[in-house]
Amino acid sequence: MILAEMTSPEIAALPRDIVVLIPVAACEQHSLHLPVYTDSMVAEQIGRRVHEQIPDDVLVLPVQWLGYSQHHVRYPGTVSATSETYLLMLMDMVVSMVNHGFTKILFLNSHGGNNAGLSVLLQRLMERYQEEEAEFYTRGAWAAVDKMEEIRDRHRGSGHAGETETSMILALRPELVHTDLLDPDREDPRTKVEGAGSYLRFDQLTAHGGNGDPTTATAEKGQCFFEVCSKEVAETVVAVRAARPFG
Amino acid sequence: MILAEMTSPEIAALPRDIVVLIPIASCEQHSLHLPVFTDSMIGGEVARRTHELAPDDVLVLPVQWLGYSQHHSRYPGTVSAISETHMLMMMDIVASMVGHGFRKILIQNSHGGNGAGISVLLQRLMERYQDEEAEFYSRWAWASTEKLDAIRDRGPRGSGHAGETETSMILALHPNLVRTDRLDPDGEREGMTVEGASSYHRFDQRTAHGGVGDPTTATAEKGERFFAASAAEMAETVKAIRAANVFG
Repeated sequence: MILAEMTSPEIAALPRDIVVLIPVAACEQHSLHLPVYTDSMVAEQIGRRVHEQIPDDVLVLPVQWLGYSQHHVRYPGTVSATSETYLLMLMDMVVSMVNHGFTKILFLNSHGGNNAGLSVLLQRLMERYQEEEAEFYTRGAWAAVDKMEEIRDRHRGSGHAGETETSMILALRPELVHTDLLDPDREDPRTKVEGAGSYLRFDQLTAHGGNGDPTTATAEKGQCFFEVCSKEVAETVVAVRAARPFG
Repeated sequence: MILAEMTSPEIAALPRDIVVLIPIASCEQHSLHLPVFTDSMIGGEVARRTHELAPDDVLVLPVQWLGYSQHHSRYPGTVSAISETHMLMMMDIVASMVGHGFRKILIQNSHGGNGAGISVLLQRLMERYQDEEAEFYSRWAWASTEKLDAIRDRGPRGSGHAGETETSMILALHPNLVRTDRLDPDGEREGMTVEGASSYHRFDQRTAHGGVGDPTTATAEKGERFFAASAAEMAETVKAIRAANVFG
């Protein structure tokens, strides 16, 4: 079911163990050749295809395009929440749905920068809903790495605005891909300290905001990526629907 | 210009006095017959048409659908921020664009519940950007009341929530999403307000089934006229802001 297109009485009539799928994404620079809405377009499309496969198991919310992208904030067109705002937004969306009685919530995340916040969110939800049998899950929008690698020419094709994302936007909106500006980019290894985690901005890490090689991208690969991703997310939705973690 | 469809280098090349239009809306119950995304659909369409009328004067952001709808939260399908979250979200969106050097920001609001937060936002922006020549504006997504009343059969009774106006607009945009067999006038209950004092109540306290106004006279043709009038006024505001030189 697509929440945005339904009336409130129709939503009220849904079974409360339907899986509420909340696509979260970003609006941020994607190197020289992709639009800033890339992650949101990807998440929206996967949500749509998941719904096509299992319309009665899933209630898809509108894509939340405002994500955590402070590491891209020096590039014009990036529109980002700060980290605390981001957590509060995610929390309010979940609380709205839990208050309506829905018991199975699954975040579909298409943007790496959101991962840290989603991990903290799961902890906060565990703290908050101690007495309720509500279940909270997150997963990435992408299929398992081995399935993605079968489609990719470049093992370094993932990352930001690389072969994978470029192929997906070529499949969705070819007119928005600047194919004359495809230029491989990468994170400078000198920015890492062996054995220590760190978080740096993309203008510190890369030459022009990319990570990966977009030159081998094709619309056909993009179709394949969407197929394997939506299939795997649909499997997760079905598994969440069937799960009975509280006995 | 449509921000979502542009690359970062293209956005970097825009003049910094272009008007950044931020559509703020909601996802909330709209009575028995309209989809919960009604305000977001309307905000998106008014912004799209404004862009058609003034493409070089405006940079349109994606619709932010998570609004302040706590007064609808008892109706399934309403997805709402609490008031502080909503304020922080709007602040972060604005701060992102000001950080890129854009100086003229216009919040386009298509949901009444957001009005209070936007008023506070304008105060906070004044506090925050004391030393920058950035300008911040907000305006209602709809045309002025007399223009809307000239289109409505029900006059002011046609406005409100899921009434003649909004129902006509969704009939114009997505007729398949309007449950025309469930149109039923609704309104605020008597006795909810105290003369001389302001208050804020939930819609399940105020109405029979979440509506205010009469949707039975809605038509797609009126919806088209509401959109045309609203976008024309929004585009005029965009041009006036572009031309404004408020810091002399």
